[in-house]
Amino acid sequence: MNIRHALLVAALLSGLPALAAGYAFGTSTPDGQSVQQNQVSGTPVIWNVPQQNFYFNFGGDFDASAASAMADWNAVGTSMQWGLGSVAAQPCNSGDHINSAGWRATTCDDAAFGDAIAVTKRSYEKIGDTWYFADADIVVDNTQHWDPHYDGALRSDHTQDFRRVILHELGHALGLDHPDDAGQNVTAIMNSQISAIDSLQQDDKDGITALYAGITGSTSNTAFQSSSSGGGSGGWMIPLLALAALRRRKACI
Amino acid sequence: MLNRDSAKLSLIMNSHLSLRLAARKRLKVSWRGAMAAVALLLCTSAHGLSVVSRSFDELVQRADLVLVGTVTDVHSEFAAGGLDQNTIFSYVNFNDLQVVKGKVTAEAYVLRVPGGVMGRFAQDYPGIPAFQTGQRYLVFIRGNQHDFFPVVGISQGVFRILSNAQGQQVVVRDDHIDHAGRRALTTLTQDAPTLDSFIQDIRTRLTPAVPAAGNSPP
Repeated sequence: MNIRHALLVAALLSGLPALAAGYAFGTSTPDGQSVQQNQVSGTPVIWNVPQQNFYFNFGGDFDASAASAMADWNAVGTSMQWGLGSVAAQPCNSGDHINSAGWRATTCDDAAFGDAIAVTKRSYEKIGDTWYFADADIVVDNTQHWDPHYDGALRSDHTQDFRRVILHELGHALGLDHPDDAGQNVTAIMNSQISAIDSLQQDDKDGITALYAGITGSTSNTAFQSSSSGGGSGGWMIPLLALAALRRRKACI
Repeated sequence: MLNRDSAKLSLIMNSHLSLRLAARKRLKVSWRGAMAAVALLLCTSAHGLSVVSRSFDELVQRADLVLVGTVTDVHSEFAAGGLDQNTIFSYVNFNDLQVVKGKVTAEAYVLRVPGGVMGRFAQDYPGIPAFQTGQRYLVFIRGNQHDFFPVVGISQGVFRILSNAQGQQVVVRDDHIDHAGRRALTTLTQDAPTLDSFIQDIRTRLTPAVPAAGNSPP
């Protein structure tokens, strides 16, 4: 490469948006009164206890897809691990401290979905001066046409890829927001813009790693532990890992 | 309307063109291909992940009400009914109204949006725009008090009224504004349409097309 080419590449790259890691998350407002979305600095709002269960009410292949998406987040290897909840719960009870997801023709307040097709509601509770997640529920519009899982490009017939959407919504439930809404230009499943991306990208993994870095698996702080438990002590990891292995095998075929 | 993604691509392609001229066409074909690939890498779909994508025409046609107003107050309450009475709603008060489509009989308008803070409890919905007190907005409203988020296209139908370097009022889509404050607003406002031209665009779409002379039925 001669000097002219080097200068050309440098000029091109300087004119492009930064491609550095840029995951986003919520933080407390400066007065501590609320939570501000789409931030890239400050102390993230996270789960108080980094082992939480999620109960899926979708049924059949859709539950398997949701569990597979959950396993992808767990495979990043942070202390924050989802488990499959065994206590039946409906997503329209944000006061039960049970994370759950299911189909709905309307949102939980009986409002129409409008132009949303899936909605994650995050409930927070303030402990001392710090906000923590207390409950996360996902409702998915059952009036849309859904496929449990397809890879790659979006279908032109508007069939929605369920797994891709749940993967994104579970990222919100973990505490991640939209990096593009925070001024970032990165490749991520957490971007608000859908694309052919159907799996976790490095930026998503960096984001969740940053949020839960230094958080141990200790369950000594039990503010939400009793109400959000429902699985055994780690027994849920086996089916999740099996699902992840099955998915990899299918991809190889 | 030029959306953010196509604007990015346009800037990149302009840079591409001028750099090619500066290099006096000495670049090999492979370099041109590499640069085109870089440009394509940054061209993304404009479809929201969990939101139906809406064109500008759809924003105008689907809205019950299009209004410009200044947010003077936002307060939150627990839901009065519905399946989940732990749900928190916020009520956004707009004043100093300019109604572009539909009718508002009162001097103020109240928009119900999900989420908010009630003491030591709070709720939010990632991707839902937050209205700021003191900020002036143009909003494409549909299904207020009924829809989950009563704006056409969710964030696609919320625009902020800002001032550009020339002091003109311009219109910028709320989700194009960097919430983390890393991009200067001047960059966004310099190419944004003025409020007047934006409203004119809306009104043009609301006016039934007049058949061209000579095409009228006999």
